[in-house]
Amino acid sequence: MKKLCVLIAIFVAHVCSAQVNKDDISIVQFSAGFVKAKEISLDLFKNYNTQTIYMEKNQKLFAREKIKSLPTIILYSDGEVIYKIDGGISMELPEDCETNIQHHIDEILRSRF
Amino acid sequence: MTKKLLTIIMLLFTTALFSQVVTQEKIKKVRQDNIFKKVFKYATPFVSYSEQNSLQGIQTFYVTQQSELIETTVRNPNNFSFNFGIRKLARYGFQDKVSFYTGNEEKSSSQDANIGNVDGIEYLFNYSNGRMQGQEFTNKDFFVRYVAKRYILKAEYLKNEMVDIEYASFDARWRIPIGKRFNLSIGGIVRSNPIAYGHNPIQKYFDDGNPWYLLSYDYANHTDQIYQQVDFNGNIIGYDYFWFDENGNQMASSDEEYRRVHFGRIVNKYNSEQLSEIGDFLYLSGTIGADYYFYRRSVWVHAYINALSYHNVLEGDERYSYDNFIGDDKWVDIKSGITFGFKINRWFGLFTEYNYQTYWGKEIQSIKTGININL
Repeated sequence: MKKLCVLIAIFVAHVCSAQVNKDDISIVQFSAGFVKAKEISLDLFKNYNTQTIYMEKNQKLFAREKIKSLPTIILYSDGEVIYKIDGGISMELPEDCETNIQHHIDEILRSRF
Repeated sequence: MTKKLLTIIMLLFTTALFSQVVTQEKIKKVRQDNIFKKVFKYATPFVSYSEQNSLQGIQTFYVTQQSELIETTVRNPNNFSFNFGIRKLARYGFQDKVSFYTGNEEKSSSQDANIGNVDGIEYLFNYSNGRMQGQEFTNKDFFVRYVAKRYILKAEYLKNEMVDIEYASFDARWRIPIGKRFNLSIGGIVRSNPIAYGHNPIQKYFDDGNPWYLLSYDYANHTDQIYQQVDFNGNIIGYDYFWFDENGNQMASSDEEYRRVHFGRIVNKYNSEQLSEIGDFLYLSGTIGADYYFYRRSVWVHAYINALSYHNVLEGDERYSYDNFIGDDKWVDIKSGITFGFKINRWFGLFTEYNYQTYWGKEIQSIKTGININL
């Protein structure tokens, strides 16, 4: 019984874990309080997993994901980085970044059929 | 009944279309997006024809009284299959992409699961006509599923004349996502059942006190004639029966030969006709399901389970319903499957797939497992 409880606990932890959600199609915006105005709204991609993570609270995570510019947006498909775009020195995301993300999502979906 | 279910499938299809409309944020966006383009985007219409040699039986001969040799080997004409349809079914990460769909692909686990690898509408319409080992067949496989954030609709119709299956179902559920990988679902399912499972007409015939030969007289119009068996000295050593068909032609020269060669066909025909007289059944059942999917290149798990219980007969002769047969309307039907695999490094990988289904007491299991070593 104890073993079963442990297994269930591990399973629940696994299900609910992952600080950065990389499952399925996920769009993660890495940002910080001082560049909040430069972020884009991820509402356009609400049919997929979206997440915005702030550097102030997740420094280790930023180091692990090798985030060097802010803001940075990464598109994941089943854990793999498909597309990465960042603000660079100007800390300004390109105007067409939503279009580019959508284009890559279309490619991911196409590859699944 | 099949017509009703086909209507339900069509309704689901239109509901799915409608759902695509209502989930748009703005009417303006709906106008901009061509709804038919959305439904048919990523779909693959296909037409295919294939033909190959059929398996040939072992060479057999018959020798006449005059020692004339006659070959009796059964020669089957070539197998062929003509398929056409349209499919929009997302593959899971661990499934290989097919370059060309022919319509003869093995049924994908994404059809059995409640949730596919994409949300929204998925479907398969596959019609095939052909011949296999001399037997002609027409198969139909229709499948529509719409997965929304909070609900799932699914309809299926399968008619496979090669394995004599006809089945239809409509499934509506409330979806409860738990995390990003796990989903629970609860709802109802309507299933057609073309056979009165558990009911065996020939067994009932015998249980009613009828001897086997009465079926031959009354049902097949066969007749018999008694004869005495004597040895070379003229002593009676027993008796047996000649059997004659409805035209008076002799079929067998003993009861044993008649039962061994002919009686099985009569029983099959009797069972089939009696069951078709009982007619189809339509059951409404409560269902609860769970789906789990996790995929990375080096490890993947996909599991689903559906448990069906609290069954109600919507249509059909209740005297022959399955719940009447087992004396309980809360039996549990299960449909489940798990696929698991991993790659330790570039050269070693393991995969396992297990499926289990029990519907109306009929169990179907399949397992595939293997190791890949790339040298």
